[in-house]
Amino acid sequence: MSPIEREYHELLKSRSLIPSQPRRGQQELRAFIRTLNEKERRYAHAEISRLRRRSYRVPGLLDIAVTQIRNTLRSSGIDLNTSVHVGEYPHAEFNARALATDSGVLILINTGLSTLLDRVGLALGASTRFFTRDDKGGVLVDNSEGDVDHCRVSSTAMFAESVVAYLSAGRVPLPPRANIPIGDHLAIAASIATSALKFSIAHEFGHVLAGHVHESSRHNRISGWGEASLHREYEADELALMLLMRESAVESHERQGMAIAGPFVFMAVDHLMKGVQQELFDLPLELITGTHPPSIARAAALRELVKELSHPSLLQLAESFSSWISSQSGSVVQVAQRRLEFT
Amino acid sequence: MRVAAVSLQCFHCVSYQTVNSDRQLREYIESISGSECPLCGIDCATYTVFADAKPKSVDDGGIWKTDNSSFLFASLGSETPSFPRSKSKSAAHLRAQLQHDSAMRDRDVCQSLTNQVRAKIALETGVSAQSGGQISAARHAFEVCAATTGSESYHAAFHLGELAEKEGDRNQSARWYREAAKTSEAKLRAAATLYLGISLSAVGDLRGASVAYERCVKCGEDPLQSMAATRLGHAYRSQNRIKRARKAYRLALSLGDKSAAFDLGGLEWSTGHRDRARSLWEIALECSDPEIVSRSAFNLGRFWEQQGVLRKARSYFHAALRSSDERLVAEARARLGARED
Repeated sequence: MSPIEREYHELLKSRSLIPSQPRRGQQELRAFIRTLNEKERRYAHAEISRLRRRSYRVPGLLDIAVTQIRNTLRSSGIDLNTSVHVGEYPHAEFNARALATDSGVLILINTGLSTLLDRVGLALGASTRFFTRDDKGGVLVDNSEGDVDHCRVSSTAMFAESVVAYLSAGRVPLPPRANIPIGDHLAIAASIATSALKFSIAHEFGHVLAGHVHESSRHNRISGWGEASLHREYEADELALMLLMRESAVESHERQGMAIAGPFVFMAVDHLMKGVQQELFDLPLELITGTHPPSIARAAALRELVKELSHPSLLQLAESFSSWISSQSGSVVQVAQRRLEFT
Repeated sequence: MRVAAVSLQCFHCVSYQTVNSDRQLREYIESISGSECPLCGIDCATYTVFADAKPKSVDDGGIWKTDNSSFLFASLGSETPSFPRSKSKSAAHLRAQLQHDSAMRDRDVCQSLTNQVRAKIALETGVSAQSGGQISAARHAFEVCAATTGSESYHAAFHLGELAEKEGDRNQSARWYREAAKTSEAKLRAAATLYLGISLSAVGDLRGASVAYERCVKCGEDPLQSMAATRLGHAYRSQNRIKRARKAYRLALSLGDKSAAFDLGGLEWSTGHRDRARSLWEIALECSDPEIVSRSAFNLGRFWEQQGVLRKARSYFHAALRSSDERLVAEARARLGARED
């Protein structure tokens, strides 16, 4: 265990917390793979082969996100010049926090965020519909996905319940995970969840790269760095988005769009939750405190950056997904009002 | 819908974008002028835009949301605010890498789109310019197209042959027709080989012309086949290969080119087959070429004159007066005058 990892574990221990465990054990995963039908096995063939090579040890969403960011930094020739460890910690903020210590930097993701983003991804994946065109250029929607249609309804409800569970910091129980069949919808779900979480983590890496972290944080104080600096937050966002874009630079147009959509999904969920809090507690937005600029402003800045560095067409998926999320605010408020009455 | 712009100078795709509304399409079109071609670096002054689908306007409330301004894309006030860019080394490094990646990707996509559409657009532009009398522009477009691979390049080569022929440069026209004749399209191959033969014949390469005409005949495309057979006969006759000439004229006649009967009649007459010659010239009277009709009439007039059937001879000499050949007309008049005397 590296010194910075040790510091993380000591931090958790000091608060009587334990590190989160992987979702599935090896035996369980092997048994799950045996239940897959032929179509599902074919679709997930590459992934199953990868799992086999790793003796069915599955990294969590957080581990995947961190590994991909580190790989991008390495391939881009960027040295962090400090040790960084990423872990979960219940600091109750939607955005991640970066803490300078003697051994390096701890990046702390709020407990429950990766689960929430996983559910968000599932809801978006299930809500996606595929189409082709007929000879006259008309749209033909694929209506053969009966099992996904069923998931679409249940995952929309799961989304609202998951957001309320996150907002209530676990007082409202988390709903069961929607069971989308293995296929393109699940692939979209995984891609979005990973991309959104990566943005949150990469934002903190951005603070490290820009030299912000060691300027103000002190060891064992989870209090950020005093007054929020708008410029620093935009700078960290810029670096984070560039890292995501760099990683997907050689991918197809659609995959790039998916990578870029993650940050906007993250902002959309943040905006949704603040809106719900305003609605529930009748508070002006300024009183719903945070250490970052409003999501609208952050998203606008990122949008300009995408147009500057690449094609505006890459924003299409981001636009679609964030529209869907913002359309769910009414449902989330209803669920929150219902659930919170009984807690 | 993906739209792309092709420069009408270099015929490369200079830019592309995915648009999903009329407004975005307009904005894209307005942004193209003055772009630099990512493949050859020239400035794009004029261009054409093509799309991978027909633009379809979508009703509001349909399954599509175009120009969607969700909260994330609502403008902040009337102007797009400017956000300070990071001045850190890492940011500069990443930005440079991304700009390089983007430029390479754009280049690759533009190259791919160019490969798909360059020949077609260049050919269409050339045809349009040619019909509008803009010969220089037409030539440039056709030359670009002819340098590509694929069926359009042969069509372009044929057009270049036409342009060279109009300018009287038979060597150049032969070169382009020879190129066009490599096509697998039968009709175009037939036309190209026919015109190749005509060009070679004009520069005195009768053997080359014969080969070209024979290739055209083998294409089997009417009426080019019969035209080629007639000209093949002329070529062989000029080379004094009378047997082959006769065979070619017979073929042309069998394919429906009645003008060949005139030349065949001439061959029969020169070998003493007078009656055969007469019947052939009578067939030639039905062809569509008025000059051949006049000449055939003159020959028939000479035939009947020799037979002593003078009324018939006179009527044919009168018909021959319609010829545009002054010498022939003078000859016919003279014979008419002698008769009336």
